[in-house]
Amino acid sequence: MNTQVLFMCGTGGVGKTTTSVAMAMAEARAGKRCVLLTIDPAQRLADALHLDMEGNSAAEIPLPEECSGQLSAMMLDAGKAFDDFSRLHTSPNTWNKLADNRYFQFAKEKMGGIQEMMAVMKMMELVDTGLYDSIVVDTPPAQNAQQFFDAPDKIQHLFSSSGLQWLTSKSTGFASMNFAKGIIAKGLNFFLGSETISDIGDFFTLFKQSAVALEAMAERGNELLIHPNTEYWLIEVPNRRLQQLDALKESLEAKNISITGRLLNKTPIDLPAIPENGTNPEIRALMEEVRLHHPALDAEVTRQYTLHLSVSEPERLESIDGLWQWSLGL
Amino acid sequence: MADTTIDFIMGKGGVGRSTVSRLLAHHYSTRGESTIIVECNGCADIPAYYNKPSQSYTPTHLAKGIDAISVSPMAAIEDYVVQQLKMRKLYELIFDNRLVKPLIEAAPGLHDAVQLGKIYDLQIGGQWDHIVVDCPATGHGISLISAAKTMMDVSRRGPLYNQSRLVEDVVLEHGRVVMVTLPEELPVRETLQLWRTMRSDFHPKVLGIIINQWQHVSQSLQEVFNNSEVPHLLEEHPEYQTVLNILKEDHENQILWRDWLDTHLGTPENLPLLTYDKWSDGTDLPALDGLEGWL
Repeated sequence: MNTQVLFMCGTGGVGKTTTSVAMAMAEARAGKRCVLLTIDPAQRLADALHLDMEGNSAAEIPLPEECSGQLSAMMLDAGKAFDDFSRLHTSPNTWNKLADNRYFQFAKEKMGGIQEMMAVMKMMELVDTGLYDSIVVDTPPAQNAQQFFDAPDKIQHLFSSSGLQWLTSKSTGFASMNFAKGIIAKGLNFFLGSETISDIGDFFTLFKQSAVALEAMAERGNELLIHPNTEYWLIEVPNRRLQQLDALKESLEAKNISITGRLLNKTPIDLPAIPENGTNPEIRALMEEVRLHHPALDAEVTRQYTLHLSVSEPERLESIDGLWQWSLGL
Repeated sequence: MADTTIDFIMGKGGVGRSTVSRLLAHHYSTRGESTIIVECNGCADIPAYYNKPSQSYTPTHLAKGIDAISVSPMAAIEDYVVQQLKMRKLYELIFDNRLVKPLIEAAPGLHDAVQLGKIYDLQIGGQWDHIVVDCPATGHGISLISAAKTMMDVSRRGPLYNQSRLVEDVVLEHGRVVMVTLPEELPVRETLQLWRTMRSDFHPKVLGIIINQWQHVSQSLQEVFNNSEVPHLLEEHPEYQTVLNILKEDHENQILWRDWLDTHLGTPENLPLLTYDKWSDGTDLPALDGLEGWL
């Protein structure tokens, strides 16, 4: 795989989406064909770029002429992606039944890992197009990002598990069960209700064909997550406790993935010392006030970060030009 | 039935739900009332603020009148099933095996339902005066608070349906929502959306909205901002001029978005809005004036 994938991770409120935009712009500036994938369900990226993006399609973002690379952005619509995927891998007849299955509707919205898996799938599709040198992924806030990285495993586990084979196979179905299976089935029935169990059973039967494809996808997804061309950036802001990030780091390390680098967003602007003489007292007083409202960071803290993005005048971040100027700081 | 209230702290990621959870607990504590803070989805960030090790599924004492518990879906499922079947061995046989576990993990709405079920248990136990639920971020928070209703829709009948009903009744009677946001465009827009979703889909009591990380600006600086010469005042010191511009713009923006939210909430009952000043992590949590008005 020649495509580079950059995951931007961090807790909410650190400016992950704008930082991802800056990172993607920096990639384009380096001459790459870059695409930004935002998987956050909120339309934040669209808001920041004033782009009305249709889900799951990449739209080009116009960059200054001097930029040799290209930049596109895509907003993930996981529900739609799951529909498209399921339709593609089954017969029209099965698809119609599947679309009516109550559990399918739930799975699409709420099944652990499906949303995240669809994001991984879209990412792989982007890799497969061969159109991009670099993919920047704006992940959901840390807590969910973890679910995101666990998704391929979870999905694989789910669809390959012999429990489901057992649940959906005719000869060993609920009608002909031995004692142990009987107890398990009773427990499940008690817990989930028999109608739910039968909905789930139908779903997995109908989904069998698609499941094979999904499993293969999950396996490739896992390969992509640990590929040497895949980078993980942690985005942080000053003065914020980062426990969730620690948890994320641990779960990445458990997969033998290391953090590529830390990026400090909203880095305070370095204010030079106020000149001793020659400044009018009123101006001096105002400078003192400014200093008080904009405390500097400890050099020790600053050094821990590979990249810095400075705090910006908010209106700058509301236009492509402004974002471009700001991203020059990377 | 116990009078214990359940405060659901809702908002998008990074707005400070944990901070507000602690604020409420501290507030109740000064009134001599006890609180248990419930962290969901296995998060256990609260104890660290009290220099206590991360707790698990058992309540941990943090400070006077304040306990915390971290609820993870799997622990809550185990708890529920063992409670229902009265036999741990049976739980292990049925649920803790590799055939069934993935199925349970994937079951729709189950995670939220069992976590809400645990909150219900705490409520009817009546051991605390207040339960403060540090909800997952926006969308997941709504799933949590409406989990009993979702479960009723899924199960339609049987013991699970009946139990979900009990939980739903307690949530409706004792549940109250506090929304947390930041004085910025996107969080504020999302808060309005959350409020509208809550109003159209179900009808929890909403106590009010806390706008967190409010940048306090000194009186003298605010006066400077009114001066039309601001963009040139520190021209000879460009870095200072840039920061001054940022401070002014941030200040105007936070007022703009607070007022925008206020006008768009459009409730006849006038939902209260409080602002909470930015403070540095690692220092003591300052109290929030005005809370006593709604709790």
